[in-house]
Order: sequence, then structure tokens, then C-alpha cells
Amino acid sequence: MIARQGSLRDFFARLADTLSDLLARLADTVRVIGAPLFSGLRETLREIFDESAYARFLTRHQLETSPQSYAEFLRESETTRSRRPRCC
Amino acid sequence: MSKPARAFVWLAVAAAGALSIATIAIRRGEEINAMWLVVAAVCSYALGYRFYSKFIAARVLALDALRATPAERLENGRDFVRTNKWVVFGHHFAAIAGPGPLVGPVLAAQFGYLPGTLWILTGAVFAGCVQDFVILLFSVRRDGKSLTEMAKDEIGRLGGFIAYIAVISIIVILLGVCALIVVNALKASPWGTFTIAMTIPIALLMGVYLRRIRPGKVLESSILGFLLVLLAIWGGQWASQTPSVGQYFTLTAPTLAILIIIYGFAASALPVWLLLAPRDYLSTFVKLGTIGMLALGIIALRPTLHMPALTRFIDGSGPVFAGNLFPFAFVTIACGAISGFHSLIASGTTPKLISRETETRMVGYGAMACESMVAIMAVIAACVLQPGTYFAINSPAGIVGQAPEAAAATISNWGFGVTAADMQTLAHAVGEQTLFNRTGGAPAFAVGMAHIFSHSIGGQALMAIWYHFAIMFEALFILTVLDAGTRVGRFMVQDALGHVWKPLGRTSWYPSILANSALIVAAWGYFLWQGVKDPLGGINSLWPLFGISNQLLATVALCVATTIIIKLGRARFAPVTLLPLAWLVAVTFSASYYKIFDPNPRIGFLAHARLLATGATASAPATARLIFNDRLDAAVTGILILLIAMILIESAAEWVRVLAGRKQAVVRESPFVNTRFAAEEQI
Repeated sequence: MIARQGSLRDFFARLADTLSDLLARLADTVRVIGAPLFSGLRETLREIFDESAYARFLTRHQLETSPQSYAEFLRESETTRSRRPRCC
Repeated sequence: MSKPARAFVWLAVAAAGALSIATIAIRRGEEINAMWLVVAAVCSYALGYRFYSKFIAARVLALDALRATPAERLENGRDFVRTNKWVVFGHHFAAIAGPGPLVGPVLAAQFGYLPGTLWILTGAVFAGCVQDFVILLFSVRRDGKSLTEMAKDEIGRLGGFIAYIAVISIIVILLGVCALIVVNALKASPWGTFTIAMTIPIALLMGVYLRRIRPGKVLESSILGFLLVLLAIWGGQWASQTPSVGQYFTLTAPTLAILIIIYGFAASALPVWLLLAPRDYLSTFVKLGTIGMLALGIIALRPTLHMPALTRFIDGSGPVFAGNLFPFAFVTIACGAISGFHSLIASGTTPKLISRETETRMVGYGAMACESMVAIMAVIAACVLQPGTYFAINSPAGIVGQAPEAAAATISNWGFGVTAADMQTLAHAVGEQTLFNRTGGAPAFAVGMAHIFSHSIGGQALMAIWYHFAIMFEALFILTVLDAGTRVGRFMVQDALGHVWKPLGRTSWYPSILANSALIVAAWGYFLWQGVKDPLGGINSLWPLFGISNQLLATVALCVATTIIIKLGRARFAPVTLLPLAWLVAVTFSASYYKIFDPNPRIGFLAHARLLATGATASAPATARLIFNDRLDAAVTGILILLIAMILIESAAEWVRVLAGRKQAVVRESPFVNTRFAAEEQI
């Protein structure tokens, strides 16, 4: 009986090890695949929403972000943006 | 993966695609699952991308990864920026995905699900994706030049002029039709009108957040705006159920039309950037999110299509719009299959962001394939409705009658059972007073989308919320197209008039801004007003006109592409663009001929004018106006078709001159420069 209990405990210990190993691998896979996917998605959204354009504007003019800088960015990009067609 | 394994995978994809298309095409008299359409579409696009676009890239265009793109040579951190290909892909997709691929397939569903689906799949793989791809590449090789400039350089001054006229025509007609769709979706709908009205203070709040609190944090402000819009949708329910509030938001079609015309003028002429920019961002955010949600909803629910494969209306007697399957199905669905408007985007911002020539394949061909998938989702959203419900929503009062009982009886007589009580129950479920005669495609799409969403999340209890979410989504981004389009149109007119008198071209001179804004708004406002007053619902006349003008622009783009391919000495590959061009010419010429000369007054503008002129009310001022509108529409269609003929003749003459050796083939590409990044990118 004691021997059976011991083997059961061993079984659950091994199962727990296997599961935690599996979870760790899964987390690694998610990190390996998910991190670039997430950063790619974030960069795409930043480009679509002109956040990247604003960052480039700040770098180009060596400015810090501020209401004045953003107002200047909007003024600079207004003509370009106004001429950008939107599809039907 | 080994070569035999790859071959096996692609054979399996081809077999799955063939089986799905066969199922869609052959099944008659029984309902099919929407997943057949999804599998057929995914397999078609995958095969088209893997094999056809690769052939075009390698043999027709000879993409060169060693050639520096304008984003590299002219990099200025502003317009020309080397950008990751996935980022450009997303950017390009966000710009090309508008209301067209949602509305066109919904309207064409009156023929059944089969014609629209087949045209979307074949049109996209062999025409639309090809057009976007080649125009993007040719623009990249010309420092990001626009379609109009390329037409002028490669075909001649007349080509450039026609491209310019085509762009202006399509903008004006598109804006008129878009505005009409919003009017038809919001008329007598306090809930929808309240929600859309609330987006104005929400956008102002987003503007303040963007400029004062967290400068430049557009994503944050868009998420905030989105949450507030959801709150506005919920508030709309309260407004519609509170008579003292609801009365201010229960508007007639003419009132809404006037408000939208004022909005369009203000958006173009006044310095309201604080309002427009946040709305623009919010609309893109909602658009991308909703398209993603709809895709997930369809895959999760796997709904059954209740619409038959083909309906009796392929004979041209359809209530949504009149006209035979050929050519009208092919001008009604433009954006999901081939859209000339895309060539403006492919020769606008996108070519200035491309890092390597080889990426044009993924961005140009791939993004259009995704847009086409959106059109397939719209077909599904329309066809999951019971056919009787679909026709009750989309048929104008002039065809089925004003009274619900009469309309239901007419539609049931066509063989699509529906009762006034069923429609009342549905209207009640989505929080509307009535769903009869809600032409334009948007309400039918919203009901279909609400049906899919409510079966996935929240059940019937959330049906009304989902419906108004869909209406808000469509109206919001149509209004964005409207204000962006009015500004683009105003700039184009200013550029042209600047050649006549310099001050008119100055974009900062206020009298010029006001005059040109008024000109553009008056042009599309006229079409909108005509649509609002049309007893047949407006869409019957205006959507085909929009389709024709859109395909005219695609004709210009394909003429430019064919000319360049021939000049490059690759005439044997010219059929890649020449065959879609021939198809479009056949479609646009036939559609234009029918729209002008068909003796059926529901199809031919002139026949309709004659019918009115010989009627009992011929001398009434309202009738005279309708007659004038018909003649004007006929004239516009005639001018468009004349332009197609002219650019075709001009292009064909250029091809003959080059092929016969009478003219040296000179393409106006930028000189070849080796990319600096060849080594580091291991090309």
C-alpha cells in the first residue's frame, strides 16, 4: 500500500514536471512567435496612425514631445495628409 | 520543406479550392454553409499569390531586389521612408479597404450568392490584384509618381488629361453615392443618428487629448474614442426610447442630406483639423477592428447561406437595381474584384514606403487579396439573411410599395416568403421603427452582421446593439471617406484652376478654398440630392454610375500598365494586363450602353426620361427636375464612355507604333541605382 502511494506520488510529481516543462516550452514558443508578431502589429498600427511619422518628425527637428511640437507636426503634415485619397 | 512535400501541400490546396468552388457552383435548391465560400476564397488567393503573382514578379516585371527604391534614394523622413514590409502592407490595406467591398457585394446579392462570389474570386486573382501590383511597381520605379503623371508620361498628354477627368469623376460620384448610403441608413433612425452625432464631441475630446494631454498618442486616444463610441451606441438606445430627445434625431432623408452637405463643405473649407484628424483615426481603428471581428464571427459561427445560388433577378428585373447579370454584376462589385481607385493609393503614399522592389508583390497583390476577402465576408453577411428579409430591406418603395403589407405581399409573390409581422419583429429586435425600403446596402449589411455577431456573442439580447454598432461603423468611415475625398477633390480642382489663374491654385488663399470647396461639394451634393429625391431609391441609378466611373479609372490604370509592359520589350506578357483590360472594356461599354439607351425605363436613363415626359405629371416642376436628372446622368455616362474610347485609341496607337518599330520604346523609369542594403540584407 505504502509502495503504491509512493509510486502514485512519483507519478503525479512526474506529471507535474512534464506539465510545467510543457508550459515553459509553450511560453517560450509564444514568446518566440508572439513577441515579433505583437511588435509587428504595434509598429503597423503606429505607422497607420501616424505615431511613427510624429516620432520621425521629433527626431528630424530634434524636438521633445510637447503640445507645441505636436501642433507643429500637424501643421507640417496637413497638406500631405489632405491630399491622401481614401478608397471607396 | 522538401520539394515533393511542397508540391503535395499545394496540390491539396488546389483540390480543396476546386472542391469548394464546385460545391458553390453546382449545388442548387439546398442551402450551403458559408465556410465553402471562405475555403474557396482562401485557396484561390493562396494559389493566385503563390503561382500567378510569382510568375508576374519574375517574368513580366522582373523585380530586382538589388535596385534601390525611392524610399531609399530619396529618404527624407517625411514622405519617403524605408518601412518594414508588414507595416507597409497594413498601411496599404487600411487605405484601400473602404465601404465599396462591403456595399457592392450586398447589392449584387440580389442575383444570388454565386455570381458575386465567382466574380470576386476571379476578378481579384486575375485583374484587381494584378492591377494594384503592377501599378505599385511602376510607381516605385518612377519615384512614386501618381497614376495621372504616369499616364501623361507613358501614353501622352491626352492620357494624363483623361486620367485626371476619371479621378475627378470617380471622386464626385463616389462621394454622392457614399453620402446617399449614410442618408438611407440614418433616415428615421434616432438611434443611429444620435450615435453618429455623438462622434463629433468624441472626436473633439480625442483632439484635446491628442494635442494637450498626451501629444501624438493616437492609439491611446483611438481606444478612448472607441470606448466612448460604444457608450454613444448604448446612449442611442436611450435617445430612441425617450421621445423628448428622440424627436431631434428622427430626421428625414432631405434633412440628413442637407446636414451632410453642410458637413462636407465645413470639412473641406474650414480649419477643423482638430475635429477631422481624430475622427479619421477613430474610423480606421473601428474599421480594422470590425473587419477582424466579422472574420472571426464567420469562422466561429459557420453560418448557413439562405439566399439561393441564383435568383430569378438575373434576367434584369431586380428590385435592388435593374439590369442583367452581365454587365451589371460586374460594375456593381468593383472594390472586391477590381477597383480603379486602388491605383491612386498604389501610386500615392505606398510606393514611397517600399524598401525593396520584391516587396511590391506582397503589398500590391497580397493586400488586394485581403480586400477581396472582405468582399466575400460581405456576400456572406448579406446571404445569411432570409431572401425575403434581404429584399424587404433593399427594395425601394417605388417597386414594392410603401405599406408593409403590400411590400411583403409583392416580395412573397416573387417566391421569397416574408410577412409584415416578421419584418416588424426584426425591426423591433434591432431597435428600428421599420426595416422596409432601407435601400443602399448598409442596413442589410448591418442586419447580416448583427445576425452573425448576436449568434456568436450576447445572443438576441444584443442584436440591437450589434446592428447599431454596424451602422455606426459604416456611417463613420463613409463620413471619413466623404471629408477626405472632398479635400482631395478640392486640391485637384485648385491645382487645375491654378494653371488658368494663379491665385486660384494657392491652397492658402481663402476665397479660392471657399470657391473650390463649394464647387466640389455642389457637384457631389447634386448627385446626393438627386438620389434622395429618386422614387426608385437613388442607388438604382447612382451605384452603376459609380461602378462605371471606377472601372473607367481601372481601364486607365491597365492601359498605362500594358503600355509600359510593351515598351519594356515584354509584349508577349502583355495579356497579363490586356485581358483584364479587354474584360473591363466589354463590361463598361455594355453597362454604359444599357444605362443610356435601354428601352426599359428602370435601366435606361433616356427611356425613363421619355416615360416621365409622356406621363400625366409631365408639366410639374418636380417631374421636369427628374427628367433633367435622367438626361444629365445619360450625358455623364456618355462622356465617361467617350473618355474610355479615347484613352483606348491613344494607348493602342502607342502600342502599334512601338511594336511596328515606328517609335523608339522609351520608358520613363528613374535610373537604376544599386541598393546600399544589398549586403546587410543578404540579397
